[in-house]
Amino acid sequence: MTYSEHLNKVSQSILNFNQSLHDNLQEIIQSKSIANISIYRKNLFFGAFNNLTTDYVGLRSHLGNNNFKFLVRKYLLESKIKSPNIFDFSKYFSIFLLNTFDFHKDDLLTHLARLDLLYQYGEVNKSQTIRVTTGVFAYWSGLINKVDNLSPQIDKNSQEEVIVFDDNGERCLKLKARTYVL
Amino acid sequence: MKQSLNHKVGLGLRFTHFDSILNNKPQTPWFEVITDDFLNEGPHHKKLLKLRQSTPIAFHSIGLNIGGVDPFNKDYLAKFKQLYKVYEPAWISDHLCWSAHNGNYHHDLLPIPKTMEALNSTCARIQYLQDYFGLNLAIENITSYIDYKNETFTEIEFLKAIIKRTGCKLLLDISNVIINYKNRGQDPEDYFSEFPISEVIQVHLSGGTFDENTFIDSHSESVNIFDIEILKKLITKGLKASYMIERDANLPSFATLENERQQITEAISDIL
Repeated sequence: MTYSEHLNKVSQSILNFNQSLHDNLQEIIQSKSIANISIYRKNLFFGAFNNLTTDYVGLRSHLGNNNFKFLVRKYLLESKIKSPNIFDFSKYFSIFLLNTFDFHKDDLLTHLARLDLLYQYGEVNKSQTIRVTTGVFAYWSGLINKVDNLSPQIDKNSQEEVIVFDDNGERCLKLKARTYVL
Repeated sequence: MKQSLNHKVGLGLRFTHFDSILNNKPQTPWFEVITDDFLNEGPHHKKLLKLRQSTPIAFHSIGLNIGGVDPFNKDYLAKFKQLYKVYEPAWISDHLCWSAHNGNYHHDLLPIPKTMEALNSTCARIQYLQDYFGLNLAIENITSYIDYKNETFTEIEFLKAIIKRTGCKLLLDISNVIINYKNRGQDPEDYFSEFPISEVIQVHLSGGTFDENTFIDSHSESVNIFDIEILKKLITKGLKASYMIERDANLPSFATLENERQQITEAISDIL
């Protein structure tokens, strides 16, 4: 077995953490320590989960911990991490949500994810803006500020433009004045 | 003029401590910076530049994939080199491990099966990186939770062969060694007595946890007194390096961490 094949077996056994550990690991790993692959599986999952938890505060608050965890698990299993920069993995999560609409069927998820991304990574110097359905930003703000008994008041017939700006070193989002009627 | 960091105890720089460090200007003589935390733009760069004006730093990477076989990611290396030029760290270190395969990144430190093919590949990659950055890397021993079959070398033999072929330096993680040996019910004494301490430029100290019958390198607790005793023993045997506390989880306030750092400084001051 080549070195590359050797690494491939270990890599696949970690990445496919929803599957039982394959017998073929016995060829390369001492039987006593095969079960410890689960440590690397946990590291992979919780590394991804913690990263996304930090970046998608509004989305996580909307979904609740268990549903958020379920989506992270699905994202990690289906997409894998394709960049040495873990922030890239985080950024593509919102695209994953967009592409899996048929699975979750919740338009709000993608909008909340985009607002979370704007808040975390939006380019302040360029006054970056995004458009979301009217009402989503107010709901997102409530989630971020941990307001009790929130329910989204969405008007699907119009959109609002949200801008990222710097307030004495703190990143903030606010509504721009214009509203786009569809 | 570059200031010597030998026998100085530093700390790992963590974002949550940044403001406290800049506002309070602690005595911490140097910081280890995780290079991967600075791949993206953001206000943390301004803060690091400010810190860098008064305090030396070293770069520590978790993504060079030294033991892997995938081609190096050119964008990643280019960004890394740009950071190296801007912040002028005293050295760059990464782990004796692989972290990606077939384009899938684990963002973890996975053990290398210590075979001749692995040795050849790892040395070639270290040499490439050293040429790319124009310096000698420091390579760190990792915690391993699995044991491969049919290995040709022990870890010490593997490390010595790498040093001989590439001229790289070493980052000795004392806590990783102890965890590896504890998990196997063995005494780490032989490992430390055979370790090529003359090649060590940096030492990591950290505190782990015990989970499901396994000691885990979680960086979530204070440094164990046993690890500090090992450090002292190695210093009496001639170790001359920079030391630091790695803390990533269950983070205390910066003042608490700095206090722990000062205690370790005092503990080793008697034997210097």
